[in-house]
Amino acid sequence: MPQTDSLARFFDTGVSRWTPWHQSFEQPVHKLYDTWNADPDRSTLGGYVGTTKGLQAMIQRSLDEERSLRALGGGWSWPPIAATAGTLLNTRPLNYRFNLRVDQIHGDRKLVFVQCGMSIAELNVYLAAKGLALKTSGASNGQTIAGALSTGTHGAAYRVGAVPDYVVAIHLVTEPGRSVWLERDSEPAVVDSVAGHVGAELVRNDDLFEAALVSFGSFGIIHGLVLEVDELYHLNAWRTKITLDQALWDAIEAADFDGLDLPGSDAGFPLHHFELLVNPYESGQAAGDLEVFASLMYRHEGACPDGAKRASQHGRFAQGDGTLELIGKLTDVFPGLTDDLSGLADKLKFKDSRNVCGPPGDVFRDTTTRGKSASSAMGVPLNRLREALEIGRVAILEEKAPALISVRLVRASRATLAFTHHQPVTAVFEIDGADSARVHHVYRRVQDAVRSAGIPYTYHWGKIHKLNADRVRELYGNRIQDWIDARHELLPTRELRRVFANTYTDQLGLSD
Amino acid sequence: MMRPRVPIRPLCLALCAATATACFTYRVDAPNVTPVEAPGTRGRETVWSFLWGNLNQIPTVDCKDQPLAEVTVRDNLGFTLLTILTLGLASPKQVEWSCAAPRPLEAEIPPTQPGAR
Repeated sequence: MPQTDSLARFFDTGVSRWTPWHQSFEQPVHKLYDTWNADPDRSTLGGYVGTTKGLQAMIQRSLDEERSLRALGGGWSWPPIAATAGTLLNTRPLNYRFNLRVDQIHGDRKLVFVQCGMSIAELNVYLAAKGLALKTSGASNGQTIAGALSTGTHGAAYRVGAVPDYVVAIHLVTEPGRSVWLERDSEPAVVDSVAGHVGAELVRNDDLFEAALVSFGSFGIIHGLVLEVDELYHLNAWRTKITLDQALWDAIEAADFDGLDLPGSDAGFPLHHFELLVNPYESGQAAGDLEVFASLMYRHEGACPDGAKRASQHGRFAQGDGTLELIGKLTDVFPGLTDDLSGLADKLKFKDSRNVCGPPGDVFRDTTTRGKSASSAMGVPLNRLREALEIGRVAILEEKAPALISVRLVRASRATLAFTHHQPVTAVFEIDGADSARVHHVYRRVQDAVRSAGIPYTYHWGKIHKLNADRVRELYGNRIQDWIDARHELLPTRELRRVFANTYTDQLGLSD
Repeated sequence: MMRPRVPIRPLCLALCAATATACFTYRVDAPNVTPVEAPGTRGRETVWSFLWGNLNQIPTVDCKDQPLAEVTVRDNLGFTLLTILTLGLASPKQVEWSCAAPRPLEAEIPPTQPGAR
């Protein structure tokens, strides 16, 4: 039997209404608990097992009270993916970390075992101290690793993929008295004894694992994760305007930038991160090649190149907390202002910076965006990106919406419900802006137009979308039933499945 | 005779600037730390500075053994007016703070089978 220290501590916050980071809704809650390990200053296996037992007690209580239970990470999602009127568990204080020895790992790879609440920022610091680094992350670093996994958070690492693509084992607390250590059968991660040490039942099953990766907290509480990481590397970043001409389109559609004369490419290091930012209001964009702002990062396995500037945490200015909300309200009433304000935002946000270098933790840093904002990200195949981008650009201009477009390329994921599953590389086409009526009209128009054009599309689960159960089935086909079957296998009773359902999964037909 | 054109855009931008004064915000983030919410790890307080800054109220912050993650100072139109009306004798600001999550030491998973000694 694994040794158990004291159980987790649950502090009732007294909060009766919860609002996520981007203030996209307000959720009445029965209880919001902060969840702490018994000893928050020292990772111990006994403490980890004690926290598992504490989480299981919470599941039992939710079953008894017939309430929904949701683990809450960074709260960064726009839709109510982590919300419930039942009990919310803030898991951010759960940040134990465990070293895995070479003889505990299957294959020649580097793995770490971390608790669910560890943020990307903390992971970057922890891994850098060990001479390691995450393979990729989102553009900023406040999400917890379990939250980033559960929504399919991605960056623009077109050779790597998204967060789910480097998770190799999941410790899932599914019911009172049971937790599961889930790995792929085809690619086992760690030796059997590790599951025993954390008091979990070892399950090696590819289908269950791929389904559990992107599961919105609906398969139980993700308590721990094993991540495959890399030796510490550096990213040499170039952010500047380029022309989106035919040669670049050809490269995007082939996801092959070799031989293309891009800023920073002359040093010969492999391109790691490919991102474009488009301001639809920029003059001269109505016809011909678009002028876009490119964010390109080259991976250096060693130190930064000579002469590169060090990546710093922040610029000198950031928008105010209420700025986006104000822009949204103003442009809803005075649409003639949108052009000027978007141009201003473009100039403030996207400044030329060349030959900046640092480890991933210094490049993908703390976000400066606060307050009400809107973001919607659609995954499309590479060869349909051009059409989707034009649909978005025209919709923004015609609606006079205060919004900008970004394009990121992400290697296709194996996760059953990954929105980045378009092979071989998914183009993520994102519209970010103020949380205004005009921007929401754009989201509706783009979804309708992309669907009418027959472009296969998916949506980032953690961002704004207008999906329902029928549409989700239409987009994901058999993947939905595979995911539901896996959920039934891991949560065998209807009562358990109700505990780990919420209005979001109800709306998408994913609760049963 | 031409009527003078109403400068809609400058007026709107002025309105924007005036409204934004409701939430002047200055924030200091410690890089690469996670603010953690738990009893006593986050707080908000209106603090006063008197006599042109010669007597300052100190916010009550207790992060136990953890560092601060974030400090936010907010000003608004009311605070600014009060400072002007009292000629600087009293000047309030709202201070918010949050503590960082602890960074626990790493542990090893034992190499033996569970239960083995």
